[in-house]
Amino acid sequence: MLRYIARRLIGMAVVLLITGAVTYVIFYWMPSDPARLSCGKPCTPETLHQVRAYMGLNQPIWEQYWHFLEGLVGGRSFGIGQAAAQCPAPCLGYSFHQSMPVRTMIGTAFPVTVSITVGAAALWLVFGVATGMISAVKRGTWWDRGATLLSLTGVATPTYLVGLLGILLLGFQWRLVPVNGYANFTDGIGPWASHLILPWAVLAFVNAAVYARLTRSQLLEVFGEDYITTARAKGLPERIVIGKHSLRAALTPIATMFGMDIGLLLGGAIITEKVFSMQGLGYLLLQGVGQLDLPVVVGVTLFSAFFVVAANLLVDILYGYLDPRVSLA
Amino acid sequence: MPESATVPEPAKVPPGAEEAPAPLSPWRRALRQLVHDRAALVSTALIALLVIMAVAAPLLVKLEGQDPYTYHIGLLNQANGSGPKGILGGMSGAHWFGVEPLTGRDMFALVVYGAQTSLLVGLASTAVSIIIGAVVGTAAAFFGGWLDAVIGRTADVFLAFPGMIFMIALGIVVPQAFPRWLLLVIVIGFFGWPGFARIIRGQALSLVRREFVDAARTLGAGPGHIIFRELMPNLMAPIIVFSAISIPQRIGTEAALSFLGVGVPAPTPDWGRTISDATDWVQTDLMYLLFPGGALFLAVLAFTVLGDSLRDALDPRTRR
Repeated sequence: MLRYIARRLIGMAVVLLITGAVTYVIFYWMPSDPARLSCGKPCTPETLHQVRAYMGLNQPIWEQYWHFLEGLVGGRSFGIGQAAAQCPAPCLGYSFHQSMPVRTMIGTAFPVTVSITVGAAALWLVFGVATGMISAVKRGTWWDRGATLLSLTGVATPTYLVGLLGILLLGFQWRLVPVNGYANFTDGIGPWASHLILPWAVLAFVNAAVYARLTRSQLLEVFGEDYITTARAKGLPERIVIGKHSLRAALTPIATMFGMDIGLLLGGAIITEKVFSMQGLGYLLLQGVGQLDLPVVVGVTLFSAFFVVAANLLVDILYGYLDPRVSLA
Repeated sequence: MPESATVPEPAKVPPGAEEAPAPLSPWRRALRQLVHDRAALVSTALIALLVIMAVAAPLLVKLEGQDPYTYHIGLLNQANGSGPKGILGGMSGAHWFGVEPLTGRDMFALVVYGAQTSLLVGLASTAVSIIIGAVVGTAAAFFGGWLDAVIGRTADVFLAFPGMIFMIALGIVVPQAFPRWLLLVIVIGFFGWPGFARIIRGQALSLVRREFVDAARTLGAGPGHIIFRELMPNLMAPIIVFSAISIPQRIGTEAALSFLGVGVPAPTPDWGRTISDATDWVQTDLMYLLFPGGALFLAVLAFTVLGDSLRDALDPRTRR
């Protein structure tokens, strides 16, 4: 088990290294020159050269990436002497555009993304699995048809469309919730939750649909297994046959998807943040891309990739506990 | 590839044929099941309608007497910030779906031409993923050993990549001269191959040990012949099912990227971008949002329902 985890952790580091390298290479061929952007006017060749040296852009690409990795471990500074910009470890890069370390920017943005993700995930897991169970247990009835229709609607509607209609109805028409923005958790749980309730509901609706479909098909597959027939033949109450025997077996793929989805969302709920004008990681990334702010893009991408990779690993380890047939050798 | 997949050849060795000689080939049986599946028929009709709409877009728009590029400033109401005059987004006999705020371009033309972008990117990117995934997956299963390991690890790296983030970054970095729809096809297709490769590899693994593969090898067939002529035809069912499930996701991804402003640029009509433009108008001109939004919804819905039906008909595990 420990050997397995150690091997996976090394694999995780390799994936992150490759992700970072690829991001670097892609942006190295960027059409515009970040040094020229922050060079100011008039931009003489000498100043441009100085800016380039200051930003570390005069080195070959692999050297730049190496310095980035060094900074991640030991921190780094840009420029010399009193005026040098400090970026303490773990340094995820320094945004010359915003004149602050990328880590500081992620630090402000991350709580927003976490707030969106955690609330929405709890909602969609409960509602999705419950809907799927009702559908499977009452297969072929109007319950099943209604749930199937609802989940198809959820699967086919893009998040932003549900979000926009939600803002229009609940925000503008009925004035039940704030239209956009974010309130810090420290400002009180009331304002925090009231700003988040709409994004939660929208994300939960769209995602719960996928979970309902998965739960239904998994349960129906499990219901056909011999051990379920046996459990029923033994006279076990239906509650236990479904809640304990069937759901347990259907849980593995659901847990897999849940882990992956949370990992992806923690890396930036890009569309939700855009629709509800919340300044989370996704916003940070879109802004960085729009301003050609390379350090922000690389930093956020790596930070996001970390969650995806970590979620992958966690799910695989959980596998062993959820499904005794899987052995982590 | 998806086009050829709709008229499948009969499988050379029907799965499960040894146990009980079935009177019908699996393809026939699947077709029979699909014909009796009302959801499959309705969604197929809807998809056919969408395809006709996309292909015949110039004709349809000519029928209406409009085009997606001409500005009709005269139809805009200067008083409310250049929203359309009249009710329901300016719907009229001349402009069936009304006109776009700010520009007065014809909404019907925008929606009809938008189908071209969505379907093109959705189908072509799926084709890219299938071609890579099928070849790589079958090769991994057939050759095994180090090649299998390398392909497996590469797929892991790809699955761990924050794909959406990369697509956004690429959209900015690639020079504007490069056609955007082609970039979307390549990028969405390329990021989608590992899922295909895994499924195909799993299915192919159970095939490579079958007698007909041994027979082909004994007769002196090379790896190329075995992979493309012997294994592939037997992998058609999972390929079709997985493509059908992928297409609506790809259409959604394309629209999402355009919504975020890194997809197809103006003035090429695109549902995602029109929805994004409509964001500022939800209060004054809801129709601006509802027409492209409804079209996108119906397209994704139709492909999803058809995917479900195809899976039920072709996947032996869900057949009951």
